[in-house]
Amino acid sequence: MNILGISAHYHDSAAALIADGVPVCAVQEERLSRHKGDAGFPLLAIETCLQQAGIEREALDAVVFYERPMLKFDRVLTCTLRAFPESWRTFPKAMKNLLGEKAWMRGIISSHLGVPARKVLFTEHHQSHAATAFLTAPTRRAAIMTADAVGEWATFSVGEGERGSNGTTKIRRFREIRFPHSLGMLYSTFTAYLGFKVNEDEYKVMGLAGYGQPTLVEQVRKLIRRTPDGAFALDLDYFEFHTTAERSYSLRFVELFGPPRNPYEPIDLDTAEGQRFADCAASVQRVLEDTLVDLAQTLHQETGLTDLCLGGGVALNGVANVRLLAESGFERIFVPPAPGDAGCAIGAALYCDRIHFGNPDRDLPDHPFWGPSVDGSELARIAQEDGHHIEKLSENVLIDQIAGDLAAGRIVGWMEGALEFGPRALGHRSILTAPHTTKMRDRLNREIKYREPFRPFAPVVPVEAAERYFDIPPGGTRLARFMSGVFPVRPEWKPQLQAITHVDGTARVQVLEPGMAPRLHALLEAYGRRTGIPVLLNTSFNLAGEPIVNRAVEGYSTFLRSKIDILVAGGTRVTKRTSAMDKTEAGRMKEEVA
Amino acid sequence: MIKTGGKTRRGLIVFGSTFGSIAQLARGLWQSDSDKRWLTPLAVFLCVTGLLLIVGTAVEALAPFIYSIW
Repeated sequence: MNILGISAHYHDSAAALIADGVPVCAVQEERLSRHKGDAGFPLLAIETCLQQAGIEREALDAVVFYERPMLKFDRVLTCTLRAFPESWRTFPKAMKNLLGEKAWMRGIISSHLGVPARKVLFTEHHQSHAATAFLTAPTRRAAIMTADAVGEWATFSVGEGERGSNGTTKIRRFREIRFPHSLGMLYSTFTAYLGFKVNEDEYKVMGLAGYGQPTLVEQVRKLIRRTPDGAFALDLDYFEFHTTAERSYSLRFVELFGPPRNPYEPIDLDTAEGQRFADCAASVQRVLEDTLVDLAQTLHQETGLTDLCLGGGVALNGVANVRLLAESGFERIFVPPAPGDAGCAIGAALYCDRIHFGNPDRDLPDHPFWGPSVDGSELARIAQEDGHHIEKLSENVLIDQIAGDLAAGRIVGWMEGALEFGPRALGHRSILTAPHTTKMRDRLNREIKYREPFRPFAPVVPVEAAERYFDIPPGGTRLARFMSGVFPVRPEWKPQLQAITHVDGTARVQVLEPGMAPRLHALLEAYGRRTGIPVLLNTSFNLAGEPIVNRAVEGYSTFLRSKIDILVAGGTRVTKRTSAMDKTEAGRMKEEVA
Repeated sequence: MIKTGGKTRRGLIVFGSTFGSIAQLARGLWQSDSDKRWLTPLAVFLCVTGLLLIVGTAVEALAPFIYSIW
C-alpha cells in the first residue's frame, strides 16, 4: 500500500511516501525549490518521493493532508468574529487567504496529482504530530505530548500510544488545549518582540537566553496562568495575534517589558538594552520549561509509563527537552528529527496507514535520512569543468585525508548519502571543522555562516566518547541522537572545545552511533586518533538565508560562494583552485589545534 | 515530472470538490457542542463567495462578471 503524506501552505511544506508501512522518502520542499521555508504546494517533493519509490501517481492508494482545512476555517472564522471589532481589518484577509485556496485541499490535491478525490484523506494537525513522534520512535508504549503554535484548534495535547503485539496500533488523545491559549504562540510572541522572524527564528531566542538571567519571570507569569484543571491560559490583554496578523503583542505587553527590539539593529550584550533582551529570552525560556515540566509530570503520574514521545515545534527546544528528561519522571524521551510541521507529512501518512487502514505495525529505521542521495561523480564533473583540484579516493584514504584537513584547521563541506529530513544537519549535509578554538567559530561566522555572534555551534561526537566530553544523564543519549538536547560540556574539556561551548557552558550535541552515519563516525574516530579529541563542529551546510544543500551542484555552489576549503561528496574530494586560506594562516591554525 | 492539467481544468476540479467540503463544514457547525449553529449560514455564505473566487481565477472569461458583483 502506497500512502503519500503532505504538509503544506503554512510554513515548511513537505511530502513523505510510505510503501507497505515503511517510509521510502521524505523531503521538505525548500530543499528542492531552494526557497527557505517554502510553504507552497510541495509538487517537487511529491515528485521526488514518487521517483525514489519508482512508482507513478496512479499507484498511490491514498494521499493524506496533515490537517483538516475546514476545521481550521471554523477556528479562523470563530476567532475573528469573537474578536470583532478589533479584527475587522484581519477578517477579509483571512477569509480571502483561506477561501481563495487553502480551504479546498481535497480539490487542490486531486487537481495537482490527478488522483480521485475519494483517495484524499485528512488527519488532524496534532494527530499528525503525535503520529510522527510515536510511530517513528523505537518504543512499544509511550505517553505522547505535542505542543506548537496552533493547528486547527489544538495548540497542545497529551495522550498515549501503543503498538500491540498483534500488530495493532492505538493512539489515544486524553485532552487538548485550544487556541488562543498556546505555548508556541507565547514563545513566538517573544520571538517577534525580540526582533526575530516568527515561525523561523525561535531557536535564536533559545540561544540568546543563555546570555541572560531569568529576572523577568514574574512578568512573564502574568502572561500565562495555570488553570485549576492543570492546563494553562494566556492573558489575552497582552497579545494581539488572535485579532490581527500584523503584530503579536499588545501595548500592554510593551508597557510590561519595555520597547521592542529594532530587528535591523544588532543585539549588543554589553549594553543594558541588549542585556534586557537577553533577560527577556531567559525568562520566557524558564517559564516555558516550568510549564512543560509540570504538564509532563502530570502525564507521567497519569500514565505511569517510562517513555515520552514529544512532537510539535516546541519539541525543537533542546534546553526544555533536557529539563523534561531530568524532572518529568519519564526515563526516555523521544523527539523525532522533524518534530515541526514538515514532519507531519510522515506522521499523517503513518497515521493513515496504521490507524485508518489498520495495517500491521512495522519497526521503522531509526534515522533521519529519507531524502535524495548525493552523487559524487556529478560533483567531480562540474568541479573539473571549472578546473578545481579533484581526487576520487577510496573510503579509507578519504577518511584519513579529511581527518588531516580538519586537524590542519580547514573547513570541510561534507555531503554523503541521503538528505536529512528535518531542520538539523545530522551528518549528511554538514559543514565540519575543528571545534577547539573561538577563532574557528568566529571564522565560520565571519566567512561562511554570517550568523549573530550569540548563536552557538553544535558538536558531533561518537557515542562511545560522548560521556567523556559531555555531561549526559541517563536517557540523554537518545535525545542527543537527533540533536534534540542541550547538555553541559565537562569543565575540563571546555578549553579544548571553545568553538562549540555556549556561553552557559552547554552544547547542543549530536551523539552519533556508528550504524546511523558510518562514514562520519569513521571520520570522527580518525580525527580523534590525530588530535586526541574525537569531536567535530557540525553545522548545517548552507549559507545565511538559504536552505540546507541537497544535490552536489548546490553544495558546489555554496563551496564556491564561501570560504569552505574542501568539499566532499561520496568519494570525491574537491579543493579550490586557490585556497581561501593562505599557508601561514593554515600553519597557525594547525598549531592551535595541536 | 508530474504533469498537472491546465489552469481551467484544475480550477474546475477544485470547484467540483468544494460542495462536499462545504457540506462537511456546515454539518460540523450544526452538530457542534459549543453552540455554533448560528455560524452555519455565515460560513456557508463565505464559502460560496470563495467558490466564486475560484471560478473567477480558473475561468478568466468569467472573471469580470464575477468581480463586478463586488
